[in-house]
Amino acid sequence: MEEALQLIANGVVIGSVIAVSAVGLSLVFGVLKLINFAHGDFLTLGAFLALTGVGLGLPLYLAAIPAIIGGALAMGVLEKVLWKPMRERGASTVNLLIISIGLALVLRHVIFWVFGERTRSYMPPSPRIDLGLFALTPQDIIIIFGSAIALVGTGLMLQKTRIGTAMRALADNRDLAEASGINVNRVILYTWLIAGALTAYGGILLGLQGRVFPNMGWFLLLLVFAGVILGGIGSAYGAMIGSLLIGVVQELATHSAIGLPADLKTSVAFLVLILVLLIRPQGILGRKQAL
Amino acid sequence: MIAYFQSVLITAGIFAILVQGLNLHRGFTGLLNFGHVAFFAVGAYTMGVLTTQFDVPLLPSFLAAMVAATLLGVIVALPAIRLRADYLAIVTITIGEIFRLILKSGPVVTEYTRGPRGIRGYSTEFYFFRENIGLGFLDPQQYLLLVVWTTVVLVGILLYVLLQSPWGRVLKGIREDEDAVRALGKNVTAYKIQSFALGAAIAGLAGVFFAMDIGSLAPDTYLPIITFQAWTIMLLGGMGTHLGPVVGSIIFWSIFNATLFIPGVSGAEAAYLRQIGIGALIMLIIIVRPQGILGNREEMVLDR
Amino acid sequence: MAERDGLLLEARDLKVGYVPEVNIVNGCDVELRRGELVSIIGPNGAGKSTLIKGLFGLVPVRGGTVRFKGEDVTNAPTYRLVEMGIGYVPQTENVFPSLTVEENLEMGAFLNPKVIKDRYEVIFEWFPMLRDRRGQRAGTMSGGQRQLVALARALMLEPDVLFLDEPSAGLSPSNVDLIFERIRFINSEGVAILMVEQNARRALAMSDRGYVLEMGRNRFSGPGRELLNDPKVVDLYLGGRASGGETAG
Repeated sequence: MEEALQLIANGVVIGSVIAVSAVGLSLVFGVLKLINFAHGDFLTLGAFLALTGVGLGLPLYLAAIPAIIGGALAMGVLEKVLWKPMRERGASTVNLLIISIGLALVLRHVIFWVFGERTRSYMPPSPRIDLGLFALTPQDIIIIFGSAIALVGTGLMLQKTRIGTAMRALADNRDLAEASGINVNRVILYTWLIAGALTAYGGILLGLQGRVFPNMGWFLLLLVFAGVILGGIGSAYGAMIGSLLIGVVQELATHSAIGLPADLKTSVAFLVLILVLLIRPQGILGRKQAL
Repeated sequence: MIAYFQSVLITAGIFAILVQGLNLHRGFTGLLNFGHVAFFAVGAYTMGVLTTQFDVPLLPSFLAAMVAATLLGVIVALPAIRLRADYLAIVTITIGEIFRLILKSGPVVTEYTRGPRGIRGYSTEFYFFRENIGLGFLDPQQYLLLVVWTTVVLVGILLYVLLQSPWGRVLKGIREDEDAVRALGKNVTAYKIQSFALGAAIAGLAGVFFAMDIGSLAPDTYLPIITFQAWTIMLLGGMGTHLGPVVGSIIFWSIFNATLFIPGVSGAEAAYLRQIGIGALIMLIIIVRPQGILGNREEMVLDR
Repeated sequence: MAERDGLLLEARDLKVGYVPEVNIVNGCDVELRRGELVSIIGPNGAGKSTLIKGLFGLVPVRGGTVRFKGEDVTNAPTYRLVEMGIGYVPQTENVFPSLTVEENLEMGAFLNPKVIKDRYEVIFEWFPMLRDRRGQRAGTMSGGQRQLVALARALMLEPDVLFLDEPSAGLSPSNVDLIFERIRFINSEGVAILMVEQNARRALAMSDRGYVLEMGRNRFSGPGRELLNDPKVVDLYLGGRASGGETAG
C-alpha cells in the first residue's frame, strides 16, 4: 500500500508535466486539426532555453520567463513562415503532419548540435521530504503546483476571454468562424503563441522533474499523445485528466506486485493508448469537435 | 573505394525493399503507417533468434521472418481499420516503440533477444550458402549486393503485377475514395489487412538482409528514425510509383553518405547534420513537390 | 466612389467557382438597395448558394466586380466585409455547437466587442426566446432555435445587409413560419436582406425584388409580385400554378 501511494504520487508528478504539454498539443489540434509531431521537441527547446538562462547565473524562475517567451515566439514565427503559407496552399492535414515530423527532426538535432548530447540538470537533486503517506522532492511539489496553475490559467483563458471563446469557436467550425467575421488567422496565431508558451513551460517542468537532454521531449511525446487521446483529442480538459491517468498508470505498472521492469512502464501507457483508441476513440471526455 | 560504393548500394537496396513495403501501405492503399520499423525489426529478430538459438536452417528462418512480420502486420492492421489517418499515425509509431521496448527489456522475450546486448553470429550460414548455388567466386559483400538487388527486382515485379490486377485496383480505389469502394460491395477492411500484411512481410525480408549486412542485432538499432528514413525515401522517390522506392533510396543514401566527406566536421556533428538534413528534406518535399520525383500530381490531389 | 441612390451592393458580370475554369456562377448581376428584401431563386444547381458565397468572399470570384457601399470589395477577406456591414447566415452548421447562446452572439461581434453589451438588449428583444436560453449550448438546441441563434449572431454588429442562405432549409413548417416572420421583422427594422431560397413562392411573396438564376446566369429579375405572376417563371420554376401558394419551389 505504501509503495502504491508513493507510485501514485510519482505518477501525479509526471502526469502533471504531461498535462501541461498535452494541453498545448490539444489546443493546436482543436483549432488547426494538426497533430504536431514536433511538439515534444518544443518542450526540449523550452527546457534548453531556460538552461541557458541558468547557465548565465539566473535563478530558474527568472530564466523561465525568457524561455517561455522564446517558446511562444518560436511557434509564432513558424505559424507565419510555415503553417499559414501551407494552409493557404490547401495542404492536407496528412501533409501537415508529415511536415511536423520533418520539423521535429530538424529542431531536435539543432538542439543536439548546439548543446551536445550531454545530460544536464537545473540544480543538484534534493532529498525527498516525507509527507506522511508518501515522499516528494521540493521540485516535485513545485511541478504539481506549477502545472495546476498553468492548467487553471488555460481553462480560464478558454472560458472567460474573447480569444479563448474564439479558439473554441474555431475548434467547433472554422468556416463559420470565418463567416462570422472572426479574424481566423489572428486567432490561430494566438493559439500557437499560447501553445508555445505552455510547451516551453512544460519543458522546464520536465527538466525540473528529471534531467535536461536533447531527446527529453521526443521521449515524452508519445506519452503526451497517450494523455491527449485518453482524455479525448481536442478536449483541453480531457487532456489534463488523461495525462494524470497516464502518469499514474505507468508508475503503478512498476509496482512490485506486478513486477514489470521500469524500462517497460512507458509501454504500458502506450498499450492503454491503443486500447482506448480501439474501444473509445473519442476518449473519456471527448465529443465531436470540441476543445 | 569500390567496397565503399558497394556498401552504400547494399544499404540503398535494403531500404528500397523496406520502402516497397511502406509504399504498398501508404502509396497504394493510403494507410498512414509510422511504425514500419517494427516490421523491419521483427523480420531481423525472428531470423536471428531462430538461427542462433534453435538452429533453424537458413531458408526456413527467412520464411519464418516473413511470416512473423505478416502476423505483426495483421495485428497492426486491426486498429488501422477503424482509425482516422492521423490517429493511425500515432498508433503505428507507438506500436513500433512498444515492440522495441519489449525486445529490449520484455520479460521472457529477453531470454531470446538477449536484451540490449543483442544477438550475433547468425549470418555464417547465409554467406556460406553462396558456395551451394555456385556463387563462390563472389566475396561476401558482392554476394549480399547481388541477393539484395535481385530481391528488389523480384519484389518490384511482384508488386507491379499485383497492383495491375483487380486486387491492386481495389487497393488504389481505397486510397482515393474508401467509401466509394465500400459502396461497390468490396470488403475494405479485408483489403486493408491484406495490404498491411504483405507490406509488412516485404519489410520483414528487408530486415533480414539488414541484419546480414550489419552482422549484429540490438534493439536500439530499431528507433523510429528508420521509419522516418523510409518515409523520406518514399516521399523523395514519389509515393504510389513503382520505381519511386528504388530511385528515392539510391538518391537518399548517396546524399546521406556524401555528408561523411564534408571536411572539418566531427563525426557527431555530421550525424546531427544528417538528421537535420533528413528532416529538412521531408519538409522540403512536401512543400515543393509533394508528389516526389517520379510521382504524378493528379494522384496527389486526391489525397486527403 | 461613394454609395449612390442607396445602392448598397452591386455585382456586375460575376463569375464564381471553386476551381479555376469551372465557374458555377457565370455572369450574374445582383443589386441591393438600402432596406430592400431581395430573393434569389432557381432550380437546384443553378449556383444560388455559390453566388452568395462569392459575394461574401467565401468562394473565389473569378471575374466581374462586387461593390459594397461604393467600394470595390471583389475577393475582399470575409472579416473585412463583416466590418463594413454584412452579416451572413450559412445554410447548415450555422451555430457553434459547443458554445453557449451568449458565446455564439459574442463571436458575432468579435470585430467590435464594445457593442456586445448594448447589442444583447436589442437582440434579446427581437428574439426573446434566446434571453431565456442565453447559457444553453447551441448544440443542444432544436433546428428552429439554432436558426434564430444564427440570425442573431449575424446581427450583432448592426449590419446594413444580411445574406441568408436558405434560411428555411430543413425546418418544420411551423418553424419556417417563425423564421420568415422574423426575417420580415428584421427587414422592417431597416436591415437589407439578400436571401437564397428553395421555397420560391414564399420567398418571392415577401420580397421587394427577386432574381431567378439558371445555369449560373440571371434568367429573370423584377419585383417579387411580378415574378410570382409571370407565366414563364411560374411555368418553369414554380410548378405551373399561377397563384401564390405554399408549394416549395
